[in-house]
Amino acid sequence: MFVEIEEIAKEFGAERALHPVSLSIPSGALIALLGPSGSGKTTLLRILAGLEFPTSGRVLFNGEDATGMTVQQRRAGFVFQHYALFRHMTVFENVAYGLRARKRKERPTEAEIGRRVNRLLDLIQLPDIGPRYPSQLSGGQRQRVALARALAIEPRMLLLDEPFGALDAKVRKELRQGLREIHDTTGLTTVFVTHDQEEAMELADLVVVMSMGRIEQVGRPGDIRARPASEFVRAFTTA
Amino acid sequence: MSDIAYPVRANPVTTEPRLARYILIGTVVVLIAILLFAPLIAVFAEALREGWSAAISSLSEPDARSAIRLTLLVAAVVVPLNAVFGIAAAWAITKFDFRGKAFLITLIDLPFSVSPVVAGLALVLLFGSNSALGAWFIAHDMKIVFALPGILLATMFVTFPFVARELIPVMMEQGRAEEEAALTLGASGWRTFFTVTLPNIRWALLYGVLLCNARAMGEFGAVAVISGKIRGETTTMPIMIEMLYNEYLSVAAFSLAAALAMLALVTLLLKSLLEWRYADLLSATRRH
Repeated sequence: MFVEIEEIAKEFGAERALHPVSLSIPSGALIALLGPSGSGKTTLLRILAGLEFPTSGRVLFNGEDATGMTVQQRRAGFVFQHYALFRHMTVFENVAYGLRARKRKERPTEAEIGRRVNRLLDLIQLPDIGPRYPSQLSGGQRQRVALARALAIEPRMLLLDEPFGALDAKVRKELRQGLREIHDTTGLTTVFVTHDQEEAMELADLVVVMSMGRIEQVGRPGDIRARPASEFVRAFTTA
Repeated sequence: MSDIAYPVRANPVTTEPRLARYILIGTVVVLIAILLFAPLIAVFAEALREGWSAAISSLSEPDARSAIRLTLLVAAVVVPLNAVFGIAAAWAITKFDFRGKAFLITLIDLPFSVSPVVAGLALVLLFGSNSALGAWFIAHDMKIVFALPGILLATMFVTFPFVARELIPVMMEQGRAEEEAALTLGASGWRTFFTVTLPNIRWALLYGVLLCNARAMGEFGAVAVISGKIRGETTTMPIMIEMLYNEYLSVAAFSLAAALAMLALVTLLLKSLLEWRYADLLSATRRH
């Protein structure tokens, strides 16, 4: 699915989180929203998910206006910064949640739910953790379960908010590779938010550099490094 | 592993000198004994002074039975209502941003800061025959003051904060991320509430409900004012106990007091049982 953002602005009270920004995300791309905290990157991601609504502007999915679509209708797989796993459910129930939440006639049978959950747990290379609770998992495992849960709903796109932010450097490297592989096998349009320029440059096809609610530059990692559009981009991407 | 053998310290580093420990522990034990255990034992001892049969027969007096019935009825109506209100208030305060939120929090605390007697008087003023509202109810043949509705209103007012106060810190700490996750997974608002929010707050809710229940059964001041203390009609257990005591019917008074204390003890026991039964689940879900 390709996504277009047209002149999206967002205000929280008197505060301007996003100045009108526009961006086209090609189908199947892996995109990084890169910027320091307060740059509006998470707000933009939440607007795509339908968790936040823009003050003005439009969002288009496959050329169709999706601005007024509810979060449920958008069917975007969202991975939260601190994973937001349901703490009172086992890993299996966490991953199955989106399937069970479907309307009765669209809901898979219990056996089918089991098959799908197990397939996803295989995909994230944690086949045996279904009966465990989130509190019994390491940070890296929780992150992967959150990814499996988001993928279970057969999302139209994948949105990740600082997916590796809370992890140590070694786990982060492994999971980066894992995300790349999952993106390549599913072919999902994927947007992730990060403040780590190295992560953005290494992982993304296209990097969107943001600052103070504005998009400073959009480009391939190599192009941004070679030809930064502003002093801010140069300073931020070489840090 | 090191080859050097260090002397093993038997006590953790946070420990205090022996004397300090004994003094601190001793103080706590004495205080608990004097403040918590002794009064409870005194009540039961006094109730049973003339034996079990005297205590039981005083409890089966029609007035005593009607007081017990009324108290149970009040708790049965007030506690579920306040549980629903408390959940709704805590949900609104912790999961949404809106104007006047601070004011709402203050308002929820109001019953804690206002004396129950004042609350009872306020209700009498509001619904009594001298007010327009009271006159309207009386004209439509509905008795509020000196009747069950007044007792329910007074008890609801006094116990209003318990559930909300218990839930707000828990829900504040849990944040909104899990709810948002459920929504992105396609769950409706109601489904999110019943499958994510409610299970996450169930223990805090249980504590809130137990506190609310204990207070609803034990409330004296507000109910004393608004009930009119009509014997056998609007006397709840605490009111009845006071009346019996004032009439020097000591065994009857303390038997009823013991029964009221028993109701509280049963709810506490229930809580402990549930905690014991679900200990594993509790420890698994609380950390995270």
